[in-house]
Amino acid sequence: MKPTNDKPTKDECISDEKLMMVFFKEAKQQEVDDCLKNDETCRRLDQLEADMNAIEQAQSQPDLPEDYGQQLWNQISEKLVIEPVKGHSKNISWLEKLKNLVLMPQYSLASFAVVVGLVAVAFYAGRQQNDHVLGIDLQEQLLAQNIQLHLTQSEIFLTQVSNDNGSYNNQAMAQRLLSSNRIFKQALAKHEGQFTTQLLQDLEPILLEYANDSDDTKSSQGIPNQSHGQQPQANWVNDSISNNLMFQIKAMKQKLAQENDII
Amino acid sequence: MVNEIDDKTVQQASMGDKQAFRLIVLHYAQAVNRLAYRYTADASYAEDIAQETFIKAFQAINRYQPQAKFSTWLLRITTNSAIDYLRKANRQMADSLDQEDIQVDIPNHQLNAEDQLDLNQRLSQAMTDLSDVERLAVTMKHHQGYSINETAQVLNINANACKQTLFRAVQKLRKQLTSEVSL
Repeated sequence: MKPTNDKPTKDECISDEKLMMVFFKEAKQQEVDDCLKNDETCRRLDQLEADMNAIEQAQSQPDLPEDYGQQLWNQISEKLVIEPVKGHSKNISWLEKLKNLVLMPQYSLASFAVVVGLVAVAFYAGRQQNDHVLGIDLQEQLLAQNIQLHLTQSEIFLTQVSNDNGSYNNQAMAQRLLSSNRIFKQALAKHEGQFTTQLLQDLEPILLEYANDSDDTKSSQGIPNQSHGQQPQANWVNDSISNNLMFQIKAMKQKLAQENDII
Repeated sequence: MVNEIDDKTVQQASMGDKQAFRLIVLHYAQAVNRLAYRYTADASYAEDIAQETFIKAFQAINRYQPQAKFSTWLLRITTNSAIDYLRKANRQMADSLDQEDIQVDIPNHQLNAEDQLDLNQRLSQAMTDLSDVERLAVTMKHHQGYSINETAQVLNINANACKQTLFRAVQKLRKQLTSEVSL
């Protein structure tokens, strides 16, 4: 069982490393052929194979009990659960955090006030035609940033009303978002932002529906109370048109973030 | 060679049938543990890896493609679990996978008349003395039949480094055989 690396021979051009590659069937065909032509190399290859077989068989294993499988099962059976898809849970977690930040009662009014304030500044800036410091570009950038924030809030809101059990007031939030939406539409009238305007127009009826959603109306119509996490339309995000709107919101947000300009 | 469990059991398990999965555990537990031991040369590691393997397998079994042998699929999970486990258990392992040229010689266990280990014990000891990455490489290539490229990919090293690692491991193991002869 002695490996042969002691005596160089005429085939020494075939190194131990190449020989091992031949043994592991990782060598090129030409190298294999060269190897097999030479008696000494063949002998070394045989020796390597014998050594590797000895190595393969030698590694002693701890003796496992006959009922090892059952023991293993007893240890893991309680832990066998099907994991939820990771990406989805991360996404929900991220949304949850943002939702908590923006939509919590103590912050929602403040965030709304900030949005309205920024909109007012943008609107005011848009009207100051003679003010050369705040040029058109700057106005548009400011408006783009505000619309981006508005779209983020709308996206969170729409996701929330579709997925969540509704721990906050949908209607009040929808009314605030609706007001912002209309202000932005007005502000956009002075800019060439047809795609953004169109998106806000598409968003408005949805927000309007939630803003007008009345518990009393539903109760009188025999509809279960939907003020906690359900929506006027049955799970609207499953609707292809609504999915498309959500996609447009995401795409627009990205576009505004990238270009910081109204499109 | 591992005897395959019947397809029906696998199919039932893939639909979430825990009792069917129990049969899978009973069938493959020893094979999984043995392979995990080969990778780690540590019985307690092997035990942990076996548990982790079956838990992961249960979570992923609905993605198993019947075109491949079930044992191949399961032992691949074992391989990945072993690598993950060693990475977590031993910071040096994680480093060695990134710096595969680290070389540690196996102590030459010189035998004397009073304390003569037999060949199997010596080789077993030699396997234990290999670095984790060397043991993984030689087991994946020689025992599991992975290609160099696959081994390199799983170990996250390049193919040349993998060859070097494998060569070094084989040389160290063969050295033990040389010592045995030279006694």
